[in-house]
Amino acid sequence: MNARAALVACVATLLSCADATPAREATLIAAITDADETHIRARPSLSAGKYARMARDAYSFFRGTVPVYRGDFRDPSIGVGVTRFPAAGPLPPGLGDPHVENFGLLEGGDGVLALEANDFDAADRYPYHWDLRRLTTSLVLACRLGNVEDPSARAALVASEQEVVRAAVEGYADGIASAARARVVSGDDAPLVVDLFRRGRRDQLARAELGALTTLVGGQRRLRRGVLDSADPEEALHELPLDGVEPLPGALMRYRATLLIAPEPAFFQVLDAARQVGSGVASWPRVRVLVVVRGASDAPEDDVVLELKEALDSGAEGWLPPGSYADDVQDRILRTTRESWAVPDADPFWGVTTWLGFPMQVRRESEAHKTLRVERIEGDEGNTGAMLGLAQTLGALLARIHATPALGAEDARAAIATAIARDPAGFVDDEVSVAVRYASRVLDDYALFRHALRERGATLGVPADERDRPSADLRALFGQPEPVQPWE
Amino acid sequence: MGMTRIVCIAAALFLGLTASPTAARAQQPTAAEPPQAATTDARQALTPDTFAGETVADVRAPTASGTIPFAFEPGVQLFGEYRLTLPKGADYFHELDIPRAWAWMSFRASDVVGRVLLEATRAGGEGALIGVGGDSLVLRLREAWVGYRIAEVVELRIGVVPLPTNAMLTTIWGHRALAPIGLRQVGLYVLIQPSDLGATARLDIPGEWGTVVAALTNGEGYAARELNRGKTFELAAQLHPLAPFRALRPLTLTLAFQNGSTGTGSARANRWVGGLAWADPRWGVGVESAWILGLEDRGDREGVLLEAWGRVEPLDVFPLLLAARFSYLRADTQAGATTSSLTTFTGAVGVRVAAPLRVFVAVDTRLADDAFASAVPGLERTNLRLIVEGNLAGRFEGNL
Repeated sequence: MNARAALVACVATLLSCADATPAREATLIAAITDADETHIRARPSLSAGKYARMARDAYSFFRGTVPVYRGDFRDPSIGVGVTRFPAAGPLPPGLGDPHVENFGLLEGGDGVLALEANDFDAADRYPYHWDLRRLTTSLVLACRLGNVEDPSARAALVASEQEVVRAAVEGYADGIASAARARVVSGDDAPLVVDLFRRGRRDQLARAELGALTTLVGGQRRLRRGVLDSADPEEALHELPLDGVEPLPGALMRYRATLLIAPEPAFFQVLDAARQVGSGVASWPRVRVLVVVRGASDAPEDDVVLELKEALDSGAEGWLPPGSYADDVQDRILRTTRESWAVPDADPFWGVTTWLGFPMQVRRESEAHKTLRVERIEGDEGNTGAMLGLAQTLGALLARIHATPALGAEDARAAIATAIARDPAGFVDDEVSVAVRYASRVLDDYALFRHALRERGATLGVPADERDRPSADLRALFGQPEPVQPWE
Repeated sequence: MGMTRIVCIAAALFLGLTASPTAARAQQPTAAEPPQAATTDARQALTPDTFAGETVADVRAPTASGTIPFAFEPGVQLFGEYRLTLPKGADYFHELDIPRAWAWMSFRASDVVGRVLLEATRAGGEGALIGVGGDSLVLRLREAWVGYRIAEVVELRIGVVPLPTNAMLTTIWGHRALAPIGLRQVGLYVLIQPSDLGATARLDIPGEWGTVVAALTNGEGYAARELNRGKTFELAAQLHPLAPFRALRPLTLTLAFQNGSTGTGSARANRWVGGLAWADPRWGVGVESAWILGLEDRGDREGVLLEAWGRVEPLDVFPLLLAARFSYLRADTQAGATTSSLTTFTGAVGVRVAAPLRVFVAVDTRLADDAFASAVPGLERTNLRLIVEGNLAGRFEGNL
């Protein structure tokens, strides 16, 4: 063999370009970094906080994995996107990420608290089984991860996880068949929801958010600064740069114009504003601002706290033409909220605006707006009966959302109902099987994610590049989060 | 992959392609038979994705007066179409679109060559609402490279370079306006990249035997930044095994191999490609197949792509054009997986209105098995299209 031949042979050996990362771990990391690349590059400390939170517990990990789910859904070999019951026709309005912790109470324009979807970051048009399987997977995870302090209660719940999924799917199928538009204003058969309403009503009357988030200084309401709750040292309020404060009144007037019934402009007089860091899981790196506005009168008792959160694309793939169903991100949020809720003013303060060029979602910050939490699945709220009630309630609620005749589109409900009616029992069995299997995959993925984070660091392997550093103004706006707590 | 390994690979490529006795002998240009792929439709304008057009036209060596001959070739290629989409089970949709808007400038000064190619693309992705100026059509770089030709036989390039497998197979197909080759896009899958950041070395085998191109690139494609340390190696050859017999020269064998990785997880993205075609300017038929190892950042997924195509300009008295392309993808053929399949068919009738202008009426159908179709709503669809393809290119020469 001459020298050149030897060199060519050497090249052939060396040209094994793929690293030794296990295939599923590579898939997982690629999906997450592909979705987050701009944040990782431009807001590395914020995305690091997100990944630390995802690594801390399996349910938080699940909350951050919509991009992984998206890839799995379109990969027939995984199976989570494959169904024997496809629905023809238009895609229904969907939430995109309807897991347990994306439902909670909202105080309607009539002052009534109701259980509704409360996260529209991914809301768009989806295949119905996308939403249903995201929900049922979250219910299986809730069974497996709830009852943290009570192993026997957890084991009992795990033993009945299929029953829980079955309740959710049956609730969904019944809701689709009946096209019921009921507003959920009590927990009835779901102790977890009953408890949610109890706590929500308590804080609704007390206006507890004012005490938790603000103080009165010389009769003027100010947002507190720093860490608000020592139990969550990553969530804090920081000073908002002056460049961000000055455009707020204009942004709030644009927001006011998107409300169904808008209070007087004076209602939105800005009293104080602060940058909120460390909130949420998937949306951890997004810019959030809390603003205290005057409210109906100058009296501090009726001041209102609003949350402005950076809004992004839903991530839906535009399966059917025209591919996108809104003019812009703000329009998407307005449409999907009002399509999803039982009444359009389920939260009369939910609107949108543009601030500093960022599309922003605006909603009222209220302690009455309690969200379902997996960590609260314990004791009387953590037994099989409680979970069955919760599953049935959420399944029916999701059906109600899918059955909404979407603005400007045909009714997708009939197509879903027809698909299910071909074999209702088989439909339920299939959904149970998929949810249980995919939940196990999520837990396996959680271990892989922690391994990857340990090995690759907080950027998950996205190469750092000094040229990605944002301008000084943007850096000030993104801010510096509180020190991220160790995740293991 | 460490730097030593990269240098080793680059050196091997260069040596392997340029130090062969064949290449050395070929450094004597044969003015009577300038390098040209015999399979190209001579009546079609040469565009950057037409492989024979890859080489910027010849200019002579520096003149006796010491000036350097200079040539540049500006060009524009546009596909405009009206498309009626009939998704299975959903309402129709129709739109006017420009699937391709290209503008390029190739240049050559002595043995230095280069090209900048701009393409229009939507600022947002599929389903996205955030883009530049809404979802405007914006320009981006598809190619931006500089190269050096050695004895009109070897060409080395660096920059955002076109990749050979796509260019070779697209060239012999000859109807990019109707459909991309299946490797470029089949349904929702992009299996190879058309250009990337990296370097290529090209050898035109004297005697019109064909061309061999090696490429070393980032692997993420020209629309993304590098995300891992692995580099993608692509080696492609387009050969005319019966080149000595002029009448049989259109017989074309294409072989390609890609060893690559994508994403931060360095997912495997390897391809083995083979194709056999009769690629006469007037008519052509071909079959191609590819073994796909790694799909969509999922290194464990495997698949097989089979394609067949045909094109003909049957009449002497009227510039009628007929073309059809068939692709069949069998995905997830790896052990233990449930396979799924996707079939696409494109058929078209057209006319050459003028040398740089062709008009087609085309029908495309995409069929998937139940698993695939249920996981990707809208995957199954039929399109009816009216396509206008315009190719405008010029050549200007002077002295520096």
